Amino acid sequence: MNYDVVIVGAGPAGIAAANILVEQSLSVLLIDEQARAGGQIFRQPPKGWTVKNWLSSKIYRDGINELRKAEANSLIRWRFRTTVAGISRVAGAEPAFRVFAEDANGVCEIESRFLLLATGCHDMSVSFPGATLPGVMMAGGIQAFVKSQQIVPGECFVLVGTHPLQIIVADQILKAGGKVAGVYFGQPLSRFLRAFKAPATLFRFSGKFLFFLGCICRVLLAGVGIHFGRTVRRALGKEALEQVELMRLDSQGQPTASATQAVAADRLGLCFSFIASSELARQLGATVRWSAPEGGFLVEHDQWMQSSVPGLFVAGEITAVAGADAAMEEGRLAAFGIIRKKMGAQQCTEFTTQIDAVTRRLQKHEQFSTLLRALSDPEDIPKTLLKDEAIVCKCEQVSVGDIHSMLTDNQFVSTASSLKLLTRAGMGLCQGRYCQHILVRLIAEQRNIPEQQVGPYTAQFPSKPLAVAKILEWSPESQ
Amino acid sequence: MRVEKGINRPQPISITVNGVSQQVYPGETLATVLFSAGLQCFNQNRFEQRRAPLCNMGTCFECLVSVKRSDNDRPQRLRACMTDVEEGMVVEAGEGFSITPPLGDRS
Amino acid sequence: MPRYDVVIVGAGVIGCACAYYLARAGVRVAVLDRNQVNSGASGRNAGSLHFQLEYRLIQNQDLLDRQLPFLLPLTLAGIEQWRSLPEELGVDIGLKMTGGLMVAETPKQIALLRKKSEIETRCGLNVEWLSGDEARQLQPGLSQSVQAALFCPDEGHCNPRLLTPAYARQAEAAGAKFLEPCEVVDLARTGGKWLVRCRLVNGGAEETIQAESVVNASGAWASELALKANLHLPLFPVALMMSVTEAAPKVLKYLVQHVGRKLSLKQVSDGNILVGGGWSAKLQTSAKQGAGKPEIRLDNLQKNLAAACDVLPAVRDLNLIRTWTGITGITLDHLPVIGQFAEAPGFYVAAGGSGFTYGPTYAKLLSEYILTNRQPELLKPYSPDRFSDLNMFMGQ
Repeated sequence: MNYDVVIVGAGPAGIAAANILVEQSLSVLLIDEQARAGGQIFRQPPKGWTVKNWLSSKIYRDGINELRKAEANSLIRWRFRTTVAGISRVAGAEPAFRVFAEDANGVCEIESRFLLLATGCHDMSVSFPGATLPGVMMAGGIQAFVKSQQIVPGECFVLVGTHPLQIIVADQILKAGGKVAGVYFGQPLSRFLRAFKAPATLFRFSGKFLFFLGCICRVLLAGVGIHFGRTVRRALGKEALEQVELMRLDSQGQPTASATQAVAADRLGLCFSFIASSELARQLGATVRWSAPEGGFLVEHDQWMQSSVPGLFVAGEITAVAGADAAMEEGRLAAFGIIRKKMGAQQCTEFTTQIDAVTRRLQKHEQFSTLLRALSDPEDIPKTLLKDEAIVCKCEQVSVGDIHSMLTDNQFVSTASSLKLLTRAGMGLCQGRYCQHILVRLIAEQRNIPEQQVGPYTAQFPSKPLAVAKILEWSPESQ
Repeated sequence: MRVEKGINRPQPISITVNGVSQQVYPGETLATVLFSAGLQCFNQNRFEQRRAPLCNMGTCFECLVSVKRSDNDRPQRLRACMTDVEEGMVVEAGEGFSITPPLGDRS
Repeated sequence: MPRYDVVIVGAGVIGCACAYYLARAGVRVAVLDRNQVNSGASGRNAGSLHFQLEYRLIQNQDLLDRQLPFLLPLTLAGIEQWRSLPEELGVDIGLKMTGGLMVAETPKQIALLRKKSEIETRCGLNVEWLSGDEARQLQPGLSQSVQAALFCPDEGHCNPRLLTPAYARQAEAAGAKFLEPCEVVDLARTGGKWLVRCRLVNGGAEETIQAESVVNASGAWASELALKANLHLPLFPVALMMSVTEAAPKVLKYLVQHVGRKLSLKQVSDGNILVGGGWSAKLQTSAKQGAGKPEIRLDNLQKNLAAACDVLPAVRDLNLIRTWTGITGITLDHLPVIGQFAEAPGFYVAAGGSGFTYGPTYAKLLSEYILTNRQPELLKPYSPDRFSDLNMFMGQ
């Protein structure tokens, strides 16, 4: 198996890139862990189902058109329910990359001249007492059950966070017939009113704002309270979630002395922000930069979306969480970058107009994502939730208290990788995806150094746990 | 908790969950099936803590369940949220299912 | 200018243990490393404590003859030191000295194991011959393919995550100073003192530190550092792979090694099974690509896991969680190099050769050397003097 380009991630960035690449006769393979294309934002109902009015709002139109175009294109090759466990480089040779992929049947190696990582992001975890109880979920996870699998995954939902997405999720739960006990924003309402200080952006993206206002109205009309300056203190329950204990926060995100409040619920959706899935890029040694509001450790790239590793391109949320529209433009830009690198800059003058248009639209979407970040950045709220008994590493059961005492006892430790080695935080099944950013912030704070200096965990092979039996059954020669 | 209004699903198939036969729809994931069956806890981790889906997108590994593709298959521990149902699947999940793999039965 | 008695370059097990033994004796010690404590091979090896004779010694009669008089005392010193380490360091270091098995699967391997057993018994090492069934009785879960094994009750394993930081904490408590991550730029000896010029990794500021002595404990990079002191040291980097499975119920009581295949197996207290044995990764020649991290070789990983599953079939049912690499150093003659350079008084080295199993012992002996200025008997075969031909035109 040998391709010009292997794209990891069939979300908005990946499909937009694929659509352009195959037009220029490059062979393209799209790999995704999900059963269908679309990524998390356009996570489709299963094949063979019909769902009336699925994501019917106009705001999704461009993305869904792009998705349908890719799905209809017989030149694109797809591999779904496939996990990329690792990627290696073939120094100075073509193809330049070997992608080690796993599916239900086993593992295989796929060769590729160029690689485009469009691996997206996942919901940001927060640590607080009770956060590992069954019933505590990521808002994005709840949404995917409703949007794709067409179930309401619980009886009664509470949503807590700082990101406006939780209103959309609440609306979708209600539409699907579920019950929402309340939506709680940690930040004060005044943070959101800041949006009106950017009337030009509001006007430019009026479609999105109107859609959002519609969600708010439906949620309120359903009798669901939308609260500000409140967040989760503890999740309570004997065997699974029964109650969410909420506390008030002041405008700085600090807990106030006022009484806590308990809300009965069997599902708590956390909706603070997102973390870029940059593990595969880091496995290859690509340079990353830390930016908390943009998604943690993000892959650095040049104007053609090429990372510090030659031939490795990146697009979408792993370069900074900015939403589907920006991701698609980045995917297109990466596609042109790959074409340019393959054919030489002189051969690419015919694309100048298209590239200019992509760049312009990308700049436009950046206005929106900048505003959205300013409104939704959890800032210090996740830190406020940390209590000594709260679990940071859910896989290896490492608590905030453990981390603090390890840092106190081992003054010579100041990187995430060395604290991982010392505590086992990040060594479990999720490979540190849910504790890394919390640990990085804890070290940065306790050592008074920037998060960039703390650095991420070293990303190791395999990117996700891999059955030993499958590795044994692999026959490299037959590839 | 399956949404019915406006949804057309294919003909159901059957799988076995904790010894009980269940009607499920092709395209559903095991996480969907287990939630629909009212399961709160999907497994116990090695700290004997009850766990259930967190991310529903294949990253958290909290929703591991035991899956055999047929009665005679060796059980595999798979992410419920990333495993599509197949006719005849045999699934073990719940607080009685420990994700710590059994060892020594091969020698 | 900061002044110390001893500057130790390299915060691995040897560097941190040296810092501890010296600081405890009242010596003013500074430890510097361009990365973190335990971020190199000391924290990345598979943690075996192997005291049975190594395969390459049995294959090389000449080397064996020269080594044997020293090997047993060194081994016994190592075993004794390990047994007392948890108490000495006062913390859990994941030490299990329950014994180690070296297994054989073929008649050829059995013959080799026999030869090994005879030599070991002759020189007084505590080993016991087991049939395949006896081995399986001792360690349930071993494969039917195991036809014989040699059991050494003193072997075992220690958790590489915990050992070096424990030494570092004790060293710090005894007064050793751990400097901010910094790189040695230059080493020079003037007026009987060493001047260590180093550059902070974060920020790039340079500083010169004065010391009576310098200890080169920089592992695979010991040759690079020696050159900064104008010395040649024939030590070469080797990239190895280690793997770990998810946590499983406790089954593996012993360290398991193989007489004819590259394999080491052990289970840590959390339940994960560590798989190693010396399978190579690919060293990166250009630091620009991937920051010099060696690349996993999947073909070798497969062979390593195959060896593991052949010996302990239950591994087949587990998930691999992580494969990582570590860079160790080997010398021209495969023996460690420990001692003082005749061409550069006050410049000591301890590197190469079973650095985890013998790291604490090397460090203790080298500290004794520095403190007394007398070469311990056990270190005689390992002196850098054996490479002095290379340094005829070098030195300080």
